[in-house]
Amino acid sequence: MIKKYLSIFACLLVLAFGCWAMAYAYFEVPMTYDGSDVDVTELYKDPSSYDINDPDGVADIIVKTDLEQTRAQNVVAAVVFDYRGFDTIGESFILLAAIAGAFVILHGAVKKGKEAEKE
Amino acid sequence: MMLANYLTAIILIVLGLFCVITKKDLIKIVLGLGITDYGINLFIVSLGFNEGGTSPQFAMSEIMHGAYFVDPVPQALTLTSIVIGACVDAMALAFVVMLYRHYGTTDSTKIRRLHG
Amino acid sequence: MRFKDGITEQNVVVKCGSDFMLPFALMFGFMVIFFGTTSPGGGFQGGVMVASAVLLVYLGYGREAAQSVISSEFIRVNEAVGAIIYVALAMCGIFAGGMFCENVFFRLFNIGDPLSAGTITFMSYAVGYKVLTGVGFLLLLLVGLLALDTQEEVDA
Repeated sequence: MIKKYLSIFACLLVLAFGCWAMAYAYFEVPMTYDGSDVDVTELYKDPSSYDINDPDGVADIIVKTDLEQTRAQNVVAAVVFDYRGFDTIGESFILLAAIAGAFVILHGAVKKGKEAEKE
Repeated sequence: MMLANYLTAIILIVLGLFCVITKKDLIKIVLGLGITDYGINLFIVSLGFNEGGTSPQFAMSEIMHGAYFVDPVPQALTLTSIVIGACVDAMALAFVVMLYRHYGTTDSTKIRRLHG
Repeated sequence: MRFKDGITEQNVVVKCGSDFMLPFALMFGFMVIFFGTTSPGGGFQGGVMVASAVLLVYLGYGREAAQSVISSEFIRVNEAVGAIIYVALAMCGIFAGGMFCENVFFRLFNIGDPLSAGTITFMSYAVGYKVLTGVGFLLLLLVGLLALDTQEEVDA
């Protein structure tokens, strides 16, 4: 009984601290990428008219050099498959391993059920 | 406006952890694991928002003259995280099905001894 | 209609609804995979949408029909084929003299074509195929488990 009340009190403590942390993240921490100084229509007309001498982070370089170096109109797909393609290989193998693992676990039950159905 | 997103994310994370710690039924524990994953994904996507920005596609039939993009990198990393959450849920539910066949119950206080 | 061993047969309204929605789901899913680099979407999103066809067939026609229409062994083998094609496309960069996973085909087309981005579009197709077969196989496996409870009660 006391264990349940202790766990509820601990979760409320974590929730209070988390709400304070989220309010701090909203008001004090600056934006990760401020893209209002990039004119998108001019970049589409002339894909090599960018200037990356003083970048504002990685996202600045990716948005500016995307049309010239990959010719892909979907920037998120270019980031997933070209700029960060190695992570996608790892995720592909996670999918393979998870489905193979679920098949190995449930295979015995399915085969026993089919034999019982045939009798 | 993003303050509502951040508060919802922390509420989902703590709710999921509370379900994993306190509940005794196996399926409820697996559901709590899933809810924690969704809260974390919502937080990561909400980090890269800019007021008044559009989605980062060069679709020239829809972009007007003064438009600017939001951050595309957190959106790409969240795609991977969603797939991993779905895979963890699939394997956990396969385990629950096999445990029910072996022990006949889904109460975690009764599945205590190591059968040979 | 008995719920103990999954859905065996449904009435006419549910069957007609499942018949009506099936071509829309498949076509929209394939469109999202195919135009992965010029409009929002891509391989992962479209693959899950096409894999929902398994659930539509199960809801309309029952468990036996879903297992006889979609063969489980064929789909299980094709998931590994998707992974092999993805790694083979990533190795093209090494054979052309660059890095692993480098974009080597992108100079062949213009901006605005569906196939314009080079290795990105082909990798997106491979990932879409892999997710399609993988999630479909998982759903088929979990649907096929629903029949086993009544057999054990009959035997015991």
